[in-house]
Amino acid sequence: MEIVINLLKRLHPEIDAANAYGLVDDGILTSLDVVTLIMELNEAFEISIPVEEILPTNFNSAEAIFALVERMQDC
Amino acid sequence: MQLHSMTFLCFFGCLLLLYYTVPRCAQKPLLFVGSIVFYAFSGWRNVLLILSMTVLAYAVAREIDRVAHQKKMSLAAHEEWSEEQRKAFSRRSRAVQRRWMLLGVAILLLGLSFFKFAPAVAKAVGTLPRLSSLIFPMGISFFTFQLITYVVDVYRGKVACERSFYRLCLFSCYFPQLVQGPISRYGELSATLYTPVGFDAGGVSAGLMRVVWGYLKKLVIADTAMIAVGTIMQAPERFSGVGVLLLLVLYTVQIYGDFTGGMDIAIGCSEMLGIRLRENFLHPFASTTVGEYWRRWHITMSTFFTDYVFYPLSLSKTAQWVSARLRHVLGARWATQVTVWLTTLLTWLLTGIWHGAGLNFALWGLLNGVVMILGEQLARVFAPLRKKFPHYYEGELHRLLCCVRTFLIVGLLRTLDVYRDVPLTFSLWGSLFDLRQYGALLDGTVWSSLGLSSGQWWLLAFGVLLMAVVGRLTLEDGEVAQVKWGAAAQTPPRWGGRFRDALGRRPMLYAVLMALMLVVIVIFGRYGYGYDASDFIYNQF
Amino acid sequence: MKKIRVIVAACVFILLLGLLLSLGQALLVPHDPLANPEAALIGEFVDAFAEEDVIFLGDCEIYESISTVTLWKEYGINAYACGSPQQLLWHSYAMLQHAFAVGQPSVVVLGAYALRYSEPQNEAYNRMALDGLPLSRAKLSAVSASMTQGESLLSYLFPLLRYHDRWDTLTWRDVTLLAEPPMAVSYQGYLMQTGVLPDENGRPDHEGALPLTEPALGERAVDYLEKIALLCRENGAQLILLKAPTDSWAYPWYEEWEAQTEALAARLEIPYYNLLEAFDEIGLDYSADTYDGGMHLNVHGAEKTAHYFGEILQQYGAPDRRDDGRLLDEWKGWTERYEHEKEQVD
Repeated sequence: MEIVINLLKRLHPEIDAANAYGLVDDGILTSLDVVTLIMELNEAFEISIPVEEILPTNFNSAEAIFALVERMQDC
Repeated sequence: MQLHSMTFLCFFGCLLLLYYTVPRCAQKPLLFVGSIVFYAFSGWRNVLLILSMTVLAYAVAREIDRVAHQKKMSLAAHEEWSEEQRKAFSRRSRAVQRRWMLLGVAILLLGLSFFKFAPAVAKAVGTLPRLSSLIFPMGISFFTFQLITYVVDVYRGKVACERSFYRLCLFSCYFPQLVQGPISRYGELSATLYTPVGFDAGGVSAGLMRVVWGYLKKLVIADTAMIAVGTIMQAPERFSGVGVLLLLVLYTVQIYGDFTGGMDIAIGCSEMLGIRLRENFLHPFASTTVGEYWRRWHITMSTFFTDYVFYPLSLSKTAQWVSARLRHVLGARWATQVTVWLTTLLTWLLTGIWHGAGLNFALWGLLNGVVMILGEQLARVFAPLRKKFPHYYEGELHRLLCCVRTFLIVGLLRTLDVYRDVPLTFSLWGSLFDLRQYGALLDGTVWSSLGLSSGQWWLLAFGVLLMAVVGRLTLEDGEVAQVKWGAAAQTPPRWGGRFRDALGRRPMLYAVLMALMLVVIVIFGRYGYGYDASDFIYNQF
Repeated sequence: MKKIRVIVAACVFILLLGLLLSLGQALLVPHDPLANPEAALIGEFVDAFAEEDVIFLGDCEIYESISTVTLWKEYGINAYACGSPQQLLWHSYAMLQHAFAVGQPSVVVLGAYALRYSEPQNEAYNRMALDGLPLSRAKLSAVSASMTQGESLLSYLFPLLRYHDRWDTLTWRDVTLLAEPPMAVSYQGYLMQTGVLPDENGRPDHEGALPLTEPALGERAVDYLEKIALLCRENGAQLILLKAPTDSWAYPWYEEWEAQTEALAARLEIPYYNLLEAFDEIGLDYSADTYDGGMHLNVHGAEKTAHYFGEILQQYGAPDRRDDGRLLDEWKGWTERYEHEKEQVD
């Protein structure tokens, strides 16, 4: 979870990454951000998030992202 | 059939009448027949083409579906398999599905590229004269893209495979979107495409109003601006400096009126049939950054390239490999960053090439990518400043300046499309900085040299004002929040917002506005004897 | 309640649309006769033609070659020259149908020059011939016979669709004209030209004209001539074919056409007069009687020709109406205006 929040902070220093719940819905994360994030998550957790997981619900908050990571680790 | 031809008006009128009088069960078959008739006006060969492309997409999707089904059956039948075995089996079936998907997409793309690039290549090589005079099938880009999204979405498990060939055909041939988009996603369009509908006066009247507004934008505003753009296109060198600035504005006015007008006609007609198409524009000139602009302008194209080019490209094995190589040189953080930039640029390059087989289009795409990346980086650089002067940065003035900046940047890039000659474009861009020339704006010489009468300049000015006012009126509350990366996945806001509701409640206002708009089109529109019915710009895609 | 509101709104819509479009049409369709007199001719014909005994039909050879005022003054012939620039035979046919519908001319004189055309030539001339005619089946068939590439039937039903782009050339005069009574530019269809531009040769000839590549007369024109002949016969009118006494490089009259016209007239039993052959007898002089170097006659030439042709008309039964008090009054007014205009430039 820490790692996810830190990654988000690096991409968007201006937001409170731990308590933001509309990262996608409020237009904070752009497609470039999402791809960067996924590549770094893949690296950090040794997972491989496929394209079909790029859904707003998976990236709206740090928690949702972390849930996605956990799901991918199970795969 | 042109969307602004008499033929289309008659065709659509008859179809609409029949659509709401035939029994419900005949409604959608009628729509299918109508769509085929519509497309057949552009040549029966095109009908064969679209049908065979649909057959292909249909078969590939069915195959992908069959593999998925088989996988499920096998896994259920072999409960004795270990977790490892099950995973391995799943991976294998996924790989098979992937091959089918790639095959389908490759053939679809091959068809598109053939028609798009073969004539240019043949002309350049100078052989095969029959190939260089190949007639470009109207709207091939749009139905090819739609079928690609369908096949890929079935592969990604986003939509269920369509079992009825007729239904898939209706999706690919549905006529309002056929000539210039919007590029529909199967998952979205199928929600309203197949359900029979009763006559809904509210929807039909709102759709009609939108159609008429679309004609007004196209025939009155865009086609008037086209006169001046055409004059500059004839001899670009004659209009350097301030001429470039004027072209930037005029061409933006033209393409905005032309393209959004065409979309209003397409989406409005569809709404009259009770079918919801995706919005393609959401007040693009309210954008504060180029990135935002591309989430508001030609949305269905940019989300297509994001979802089906940029994401797969960025998450591909190749990208991972590049990133790993770069890691040694740049370190972990920059390696990811640079890889994303590279895939962004590649996506934009492809977007550019899709617009046309020319260096200018490729450059236009690349520059858009560069500007977007620079924009995001600079925003990060200026973040501390933003914290220091929150008053200014949160204020309207900053917003306005950002909008103007974005308008100028995208407008300037767009002039590549008019000049079609890269060195010339650069030298003309350079001439923008020759400030002495701007005096010409005051003495009137420039205004009178562009082929527009003073009446037409006023007409244009009023037209732009009107588009801005209507844009403002139809802006929906909280719409800006909807302009985001995920817009594709959700129902877009309904065009019109409160304005639409107000019109629905006040039939008198509706009647007066409708009459005024029709009169404006009849008098100020550019049509009739002596005018070549000017194509919609995006018909050539 | 809602239903009533919708119905009221629909009525308002129709009324408002109709009102604005008719206002636009009135303003935008060219209606200044002085700006383009030739375009006003057919409108004037439709307004004025009623009980004339003689009607001329044809192009500029008709409306500029014979002075109707002279015909009245010298022979008491009550004639109307229904001409418009490059009037083609299918236009003439529609106009003759209109003439028989509202009046009873006993002599019909048809310009022979249009026999050469089988195809519509020019959108502007089509409009000048047809815009003035009231809507009728005759008009519609003339429209469909004469449309050139890019013209549409709809724009003849609603001329606003053709002239809407005049909005940025509108003048205040276009507005004030709407309130003024219509003014006549012609004298019973005769359009006066007072200038003099002599022809160097002094005689009509078509030296310098393009060589004749398609010697046959227009097939469709011949068809329409037959229709016109039939219409005249049905209405008990005498049809006469007339070639005006002009011949120039711009509007040449070739020997081939002459021969075919003679043969055609003989076949259809229509008397044919080629006034070129009577050039000297008429007393025409190309140093004084033409306003554009021999292409068309000026008022002096037109009077001489009328003087000559009036006698022929009498032979075919055109009556002397100078005993009709009402006609005398009407012609008196036109003659005064005519003499006034003639003197002004002389």
